[in-house]
Amino acid sequence: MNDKFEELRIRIQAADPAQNTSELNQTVVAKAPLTQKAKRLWGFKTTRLGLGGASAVAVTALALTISATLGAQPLIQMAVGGPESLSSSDSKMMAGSDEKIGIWPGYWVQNEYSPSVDLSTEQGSGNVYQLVMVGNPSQRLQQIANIFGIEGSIKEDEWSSKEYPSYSIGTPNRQVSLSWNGTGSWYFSNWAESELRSETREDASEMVEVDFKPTPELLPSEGEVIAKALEIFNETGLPIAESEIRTYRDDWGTGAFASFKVAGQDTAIEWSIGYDSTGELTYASGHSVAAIERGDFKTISAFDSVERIADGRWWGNPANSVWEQYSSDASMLKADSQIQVDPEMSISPEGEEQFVPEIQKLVIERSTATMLMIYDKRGSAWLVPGYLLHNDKGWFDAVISLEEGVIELYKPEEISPENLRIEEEPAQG
Amino acid sequence: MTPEHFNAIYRAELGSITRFIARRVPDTEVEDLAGDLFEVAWQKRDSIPEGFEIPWLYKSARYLISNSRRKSVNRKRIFDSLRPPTSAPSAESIALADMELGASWGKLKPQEQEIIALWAFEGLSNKEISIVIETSENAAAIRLTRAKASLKNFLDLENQSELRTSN
Repeated sequence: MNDKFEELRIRIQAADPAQNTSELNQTVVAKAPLTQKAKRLWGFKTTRLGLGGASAVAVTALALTISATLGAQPLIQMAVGGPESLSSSDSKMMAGSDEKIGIWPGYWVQNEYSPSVDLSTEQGSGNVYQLVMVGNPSQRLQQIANIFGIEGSIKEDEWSSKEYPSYSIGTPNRQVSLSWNGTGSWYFSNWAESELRSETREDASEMVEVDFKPTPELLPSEGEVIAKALEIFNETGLPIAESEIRTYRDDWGTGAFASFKVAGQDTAIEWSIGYDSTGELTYASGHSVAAIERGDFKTISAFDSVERIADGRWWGNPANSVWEQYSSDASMLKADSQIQVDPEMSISPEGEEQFVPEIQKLVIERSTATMLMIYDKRGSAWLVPGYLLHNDKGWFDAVISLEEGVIELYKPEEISPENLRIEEEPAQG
Repeated sequence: MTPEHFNAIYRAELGSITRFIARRVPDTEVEDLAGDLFEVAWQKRDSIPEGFEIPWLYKSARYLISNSRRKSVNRKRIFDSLRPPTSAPSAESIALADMELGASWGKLKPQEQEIIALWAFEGLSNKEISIVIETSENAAAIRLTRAKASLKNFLDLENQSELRTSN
């Protein structure tokens, strides 16, 4: 078949980031049948560096118990890697999820932050909430399935594991799935019927070129979208007012979002629904959580929190409404940075090229107190006080404002390559 | 299935799986995730359809990568974690070799990046892609066509933009 995209495929393949990747040692496969199940705690191998899996669980639980009475132990033991918000550090922002970008020629920017004299130096306090999953997975999944009229038996997904239990009900094209860890997120998907509606295929085994055209006239009105969102959100455990629902719309679809509020504040936890261009409800998502207050804790000043920006372990995730507010500015910042960056290049004694990052100075001009979401090493989500630190480049960073000691940060060396290699030694016996 | 039989089947897929994961996570995590993946494959060995080991591995790898990102690399938005797993290579990793393509790639939706990656990098058929992303073959084919058209459109716009700049 004449594929007008063949040239595109060749071009993509030429840009394959893994084309020079060395194949792993074949013991990776051979070890699989020899491995004991669930040796790892929450998937983070580094948690095993100092403690065995069971010991780590015990210590975490102990810390939670003691902190309520003595306050001497950290309340939260942060997950290794930590929650990382979209930072004003351009190099990180453009890096997406790939830390390899740190050596991307022309895009390595090192930011230096300084507080404006106008920033508050007053300390304060704020509540910490633990997000706990409500109910049990089978009941929750069945409840969601009933709402969307999906029948069938609940099955554990193939990729489900002890650390990340995952269940679903329905068919591949129309189902509800539930991830029973973290916030107990569920997801309804209904793709096939809507997507096939405009299709004019000739042969199921060979896709013909189809000229997809949006049909915005089929989309439900904004009022209808909000009404549907209100119905689904309320039925699935998000009591919310119509005025708190946000919508989006373009020719290809429409949808609605709403934030899970705690103490009157938006959080990073959201419910959503979406319609495709044919006006079909194609997805919906939500969570299975309740926020449990764990106490009031002292916070540092906005002025002092600026120095935490440079340490990613202090980053947290603000409400989505914050991202939306900044999204247009972000794209502008990226464009500017691409033009400004001009890294120096030198040759090391070993003959390897080394890029010297450009230093970009940012001044934090104002702050906003907010609530940030983080994960602990057991996989639980928490809401903690933090600041949005707005800089003079039109972007912001979100850092935790809890004073030292409430959160036990993971140690930087826990993720060093040297320690990772220790983990890779073959198991005894 | 004996361990020997398992090794014989899955050892042959190690190269493909290595590259699949390496496109999506930092180098330091590749072996770890691959190890996890083959552990899962061993535990589920009896339910994996014969002849479809590769798409099954990709499907499961997407979930492992997605879980890993959700926990350790949460810098985009928590909201992303609510969607089905996406584990496509980043625009920046592609831009290392082709800046223009990387810029256009970055404009695609994560699901579009995912399906194009499966088509172009992994070389999967529509049937295999449908298993990986858990949808019907037709729906997979439609989504792929739509995603390719989007990417091509973005590339055309990039070209036009560059022409305007150079003039």
